[in-house]
Amino acid sequence: MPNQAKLLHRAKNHFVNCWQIYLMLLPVLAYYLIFQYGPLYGAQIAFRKFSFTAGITGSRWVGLKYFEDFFSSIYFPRLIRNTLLISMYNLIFGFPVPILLALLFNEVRSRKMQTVVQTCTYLPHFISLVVVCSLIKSFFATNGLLTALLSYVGFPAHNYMLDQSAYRSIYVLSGIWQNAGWDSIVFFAALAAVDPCLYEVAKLDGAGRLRQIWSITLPSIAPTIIIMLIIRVGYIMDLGSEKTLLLYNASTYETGDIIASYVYRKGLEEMNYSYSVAVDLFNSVINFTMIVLVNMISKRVTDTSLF
Amino acid sequence: MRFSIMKRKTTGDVLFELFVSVLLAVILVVTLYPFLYVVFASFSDPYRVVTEAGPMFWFKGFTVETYLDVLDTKDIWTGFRNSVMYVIVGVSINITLTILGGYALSRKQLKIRNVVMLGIVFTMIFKGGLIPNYILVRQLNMYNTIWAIVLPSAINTMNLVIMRTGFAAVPADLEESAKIDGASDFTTLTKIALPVTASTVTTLIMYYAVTRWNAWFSAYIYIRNRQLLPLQIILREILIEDNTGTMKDGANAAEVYRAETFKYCTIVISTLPILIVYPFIQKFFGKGVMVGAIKG
Repeated sequence: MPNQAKLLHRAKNHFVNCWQIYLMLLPVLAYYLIFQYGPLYGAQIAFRKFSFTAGITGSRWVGLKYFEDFFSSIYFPRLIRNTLLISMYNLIFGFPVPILLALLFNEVRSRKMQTVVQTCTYLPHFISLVVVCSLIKSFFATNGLLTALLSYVGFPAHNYMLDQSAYRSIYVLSGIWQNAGWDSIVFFAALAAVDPCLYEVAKLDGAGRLRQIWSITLPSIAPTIIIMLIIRVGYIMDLGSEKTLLLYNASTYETGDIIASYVYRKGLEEMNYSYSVAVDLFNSVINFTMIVLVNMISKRVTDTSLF
Repeated sequence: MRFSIMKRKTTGDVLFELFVSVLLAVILVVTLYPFLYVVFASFSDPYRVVTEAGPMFWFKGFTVETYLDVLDTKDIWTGFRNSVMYVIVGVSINITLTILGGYALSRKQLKIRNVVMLGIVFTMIFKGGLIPNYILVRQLNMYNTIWAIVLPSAINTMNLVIMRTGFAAVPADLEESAKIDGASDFTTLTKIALPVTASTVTTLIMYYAVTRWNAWFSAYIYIRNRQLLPLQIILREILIEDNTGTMKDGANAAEVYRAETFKYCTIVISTLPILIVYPFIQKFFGKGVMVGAIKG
């Protein structure tokens, strides 16, 4: 077949020309196959009774047993409640702050002050979580800095890290302290793209500074705000374990324990591998559904979407 | 200039600007004061730090003895050395793979690049999760070795996308002229594409380095050998679990007080490397983040 020979010849030519590019790609592909797709393949142990000696495919198939165990567990409602509440507080209080920060950076007339404050508010983002959580811990200890400040305004001076009613507020507020500055970059960049003529015209029409923000600035960056909101809402159940593992303790489990930290304790402390993966998988399914759902709604309502 | 047409400010505008400045000043204080407090406390007399609760605006007594204690702690030195090693080995692997992948995937002649990109982006949404990763690391016999820390996070997909975008923006005629002169793909990458994208590469190296320096979780789950623990895990033991090393049974009151400022000293020492590189990184942000934002 001359056609086949031609095709073969072209393919050969392609490889002769591009072999170096394939060679470059090789270690990258290997990484993704082993360390990204490998664990995806391993996630099947949620449906098996996994043991290291039997291996992944050698372990006995148990179907949905571990999912049923989780749904009937006494921790199920508490984990869902805590994960959802912390995420929602993060969204409600954490989402507007970077936008407000970006607006402030944009409105301040002194260029120097703008740069200084911006640079400083980005800094906490680069501090390690271990250090940030230990600061939180010692500031909220009985003789800590913030406990002292709180006692000036009438709050009790006790160890807030053992106070389950304070846990979520501390978690969310410290998150804002650490990341609001960094998160404002996206909005600040969007603000820089607003046409200055719009402000000149508004000024001629007699609009004050607040009115300009309301009628020009905010509508101009609305698409960015919506995109960022979709991302945040989509990830509402996707709360990482690291900060929780550093911050909570047995006396704050009631309000602080989330799905991710439960996965860690069940899997790596109690060695219930399969059960732990089932919980994790359940969480991933919800995450994925949320992202798709939020994206669909946004596409219909605002015509803005991620994919 | 936005307000070139009308120079005169109304009272409302003046009040508004005052409000903005005051608010920014408050934000500045809230952001920076915790760091200042840590520095003051670390040099202060331990007894006074513990007994006189409340804000500090200067050192309470001045001593460097706690710092000397910290520098006398063997674990901190071992941790520091290990962290430096993990950063150097880890970031070398990170940036090499990111450059190779970013370059290969930016080449139009690579027929499979769209399929590969799709497969890569897929992993940003679907992840195996904690336990399957743990099982994989154990099955690969990497448990308790440096590779358990370095290899599973060898590429950050976001950074790969940023690098790819950077390479895609290299002017095509630059590379074509090199090709005509007989340069191979590797030569084109090292002699043409890398010099042009040097600022992106530097930014990514900084991002990777900060992430590696601050990472604790992979060591927490994969490393049992104390000689291999990175600084962040040692910090976690000292700061979060309150094992200051000075707190032996029957520790006297002075040692208990010392334990408190000991923490602040370790925070200062472990954060110093970040503060030193920070001025260099901060020049580059914005850029990298924005590419990510547009692509995302």
